[in-house]
Amino acid sequence: MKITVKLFASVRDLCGFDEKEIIVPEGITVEEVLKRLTVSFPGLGAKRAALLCAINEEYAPPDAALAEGNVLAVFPPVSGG
Amino acid sequence: MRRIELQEAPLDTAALVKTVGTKEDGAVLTFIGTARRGSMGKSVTHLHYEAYESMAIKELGKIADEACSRWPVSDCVIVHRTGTVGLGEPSVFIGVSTPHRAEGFQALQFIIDTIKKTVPIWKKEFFEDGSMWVSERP
Repeated sequence: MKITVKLFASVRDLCGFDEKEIIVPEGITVEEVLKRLTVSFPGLGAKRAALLCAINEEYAPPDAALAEGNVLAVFPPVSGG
Repeated sequence: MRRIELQEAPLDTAALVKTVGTKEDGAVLTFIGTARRGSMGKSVTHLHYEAYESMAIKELGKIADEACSRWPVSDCVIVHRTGTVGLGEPSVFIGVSTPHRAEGFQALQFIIDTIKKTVPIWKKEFFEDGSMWVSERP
């Protein structure tokens, strides 16, 4: 199935893209997508524990499963205000 | 009245203050976050804010909902900057109005504290010799 990965701030800078469609197995979890990203971008490994994820603009835990067409956002701790 | 926005243009805080408050309210409380020079012993030249805009608006809406359910908030205005913010310039404006001041102070503190925890906005500090996302501070 196809999902869209969106990256923001330091995570985008590290990986060098802000949005990409990727093909993943049905039912893949957020954690598994992060693992795949870390293989491509090893620098993410050290940040992993702090990363936040959202599916379709709602925060999602690592074990959340993705569905066809979902938008998975990956970003560092927020720092607005 | 509720108003939740992200904007790239500078904030006109004086104009925003005037939009907060009804005749039923005895208190209008505002918080203005501003870009500060000092950070970790270095001198900041300016800030840059990036937002996941669609999600940030949703998260700000949830915060406003919760504030309005916990306290008798009449008006709730939250406007956050994106893009480049110069030293001393406002980066966020929050205005709430309530019948009495005590609940207004509580609502206002809740809103800014929660923005800093949950709203997908990121700050990058620029120095004379480089820049750093606040999330990457050592």
